[in-house]
Amino acid sequence: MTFLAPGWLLAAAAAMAGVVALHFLARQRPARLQFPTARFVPDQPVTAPSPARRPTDLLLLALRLLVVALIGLALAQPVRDQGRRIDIVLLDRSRLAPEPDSALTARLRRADSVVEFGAAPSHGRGSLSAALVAGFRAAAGLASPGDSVTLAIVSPFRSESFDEATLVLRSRWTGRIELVPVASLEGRPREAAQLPADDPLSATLVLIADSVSARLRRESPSPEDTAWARSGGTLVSWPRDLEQRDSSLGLSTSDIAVVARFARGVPPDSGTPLALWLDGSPAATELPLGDGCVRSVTVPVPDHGDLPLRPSFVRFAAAMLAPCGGDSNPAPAAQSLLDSLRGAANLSSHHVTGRGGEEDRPFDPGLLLVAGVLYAVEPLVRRWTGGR
Amino acid sequence: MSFHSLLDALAGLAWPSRRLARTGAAGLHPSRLRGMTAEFTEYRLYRQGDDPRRLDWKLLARTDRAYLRITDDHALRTTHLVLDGSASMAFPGERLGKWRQACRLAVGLAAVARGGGDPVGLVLVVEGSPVRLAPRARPGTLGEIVRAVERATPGGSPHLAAGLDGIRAGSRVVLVSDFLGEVGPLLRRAAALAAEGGEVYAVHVIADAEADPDARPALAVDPEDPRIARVLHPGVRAGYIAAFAGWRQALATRFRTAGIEYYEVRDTSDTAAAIRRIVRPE
Repeated sequence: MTFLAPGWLLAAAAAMAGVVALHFLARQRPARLQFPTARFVPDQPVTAPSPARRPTDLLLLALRLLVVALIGLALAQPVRDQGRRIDIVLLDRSRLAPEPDSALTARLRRADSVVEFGAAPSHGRGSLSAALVAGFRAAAGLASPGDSVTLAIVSPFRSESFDEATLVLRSRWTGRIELVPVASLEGRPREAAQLPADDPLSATLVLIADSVSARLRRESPSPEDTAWARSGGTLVSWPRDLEQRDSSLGLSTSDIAVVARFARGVPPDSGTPLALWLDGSPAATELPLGDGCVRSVTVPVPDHGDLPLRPSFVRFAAAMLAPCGGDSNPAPAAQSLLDSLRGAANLSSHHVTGRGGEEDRPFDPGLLLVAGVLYAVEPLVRRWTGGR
Repeated sequence: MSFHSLLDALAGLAWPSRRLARTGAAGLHPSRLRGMTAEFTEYRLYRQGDDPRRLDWKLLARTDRAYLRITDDHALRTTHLVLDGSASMAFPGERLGKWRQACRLAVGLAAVARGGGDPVGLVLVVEGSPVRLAPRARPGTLGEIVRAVERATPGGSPHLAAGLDGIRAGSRVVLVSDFLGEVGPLLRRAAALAAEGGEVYAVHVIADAEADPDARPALAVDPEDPRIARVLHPGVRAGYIAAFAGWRQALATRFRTAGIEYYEVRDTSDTAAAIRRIVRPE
């Protein structure tokens, strides 16, 4: 027998000690006695504090201790270790995750279920949130009441794998998760964009050089560029010379707005819009290509003026030159994130399985019911024993 | 309850009257009147109007003087037993020591009175109307009294004074009670009966547990008035004993001052010995 929340046992023990102490210190109400000559007894308070040498009302004390113990046991969620042990492995198949080696392959063969996450077309970012959800579903499908389920995640554990929902989902799993880190691959093909000095965009590149991982072409891309994009790279076609149609006072992405007078070019005819002019027509689009993508940016950069150096335009340029699928951070995840993901419990959880729409309860209902019945009986016992 | 052993212990016991009986049927008790019995007491000179049949002719022949022969007469003394059936008599606990002792005293005294030829009746003061058995001298009277007390159960708070209603002057009245109810009206009525020539006895039944309560703390509640609830614990035990003894002493003084004979009988005392003490005080 083990407990999912053993801390409640300590709390119950402390409460039981308190109950025993109260029975030592409780005001003693003497037994009621029919006494015809009671009128001759000097009139004094009916109760008086009496620190007894041993607890009074032993039956009542035992009943109260039992109620507290049962509540503590119910909240501690006892688990019988009699079921199967099910091993589920969440395997990162993102662009940064390598192929499993022989040892890992053997481990995967032993597992009851292997759930892959992070493969294209999600641009291979390996979302741990999606992995956890898939893992929970696999556990619900495989485990029966009484079984124990272990979760293991095989991944390079990069920052880009974490999002705001990851730790929230993690909290639904009360057990410990085994983290199996693997060496991260280089990721996408990266290339430091270089432009001639007279190119107005070169000034912008200087400011964002560390975060640029795309191949920037100011003229038409070549077949080699296309092949490079197919292999997973990000190809950005940002012509310098654009046929200008009209003008616009600004453009915006999902979180960046650039206010300036632009001479608009012909908008791209395909792809997912990444940026829009004020009238809603696309200013930049992205089209998946193999393992990578091709971005078309039809935003003329004036040769004169300070637009290339404005902070809003610099952020816009960084977004246009980010890897496919948006910003990503292939840096290793912080240790605190990994510790939170791993958890501190010693037990693998099985109550997340949830059969037939059943809610996960943070207590054992049977023990709580018995405690409730005994609590309801306590006033009767108290009246019968004449205790307090 | 079995009264056989008690009645056997009281066999042959007489209960002489403390006072002269009124004129009535012939009995064992000295009468106020001088009668024609053989019990000679004195001579008296003949006065005009005296019954000439009472002249002592032999003395007249010897002395040539007319003397009347005076003798004592005897009459019956009707006895009324008034038994308190209030809730306070149902103590202690399930043993009902006070009630049982009171019943035994009533039956025993009735047997002694009946043995002397006196009519004896019972007034059982219980909740509601008192149960009255009219004084009778017939053989089955004692059995009726025994059945009446066996059927009764103490309870409620009846007024003991109501049991004295309808009792004629000159009777013998025995009050068997713990006197924890209203004593004033009872005392006045009983004193009136005593002043009218009757004999009134107050037999105060006390439980040992009342006179010397247990040392364990308890919440003492008056069964006839639950509002009275006092904690009886070792700290107040001495005060309680003194108060209760003082009250009994005062009660005894009041009864005796009113011409009523007062006796205390514990619930564990030998009933026959107590009855002997009552009927033949030393």
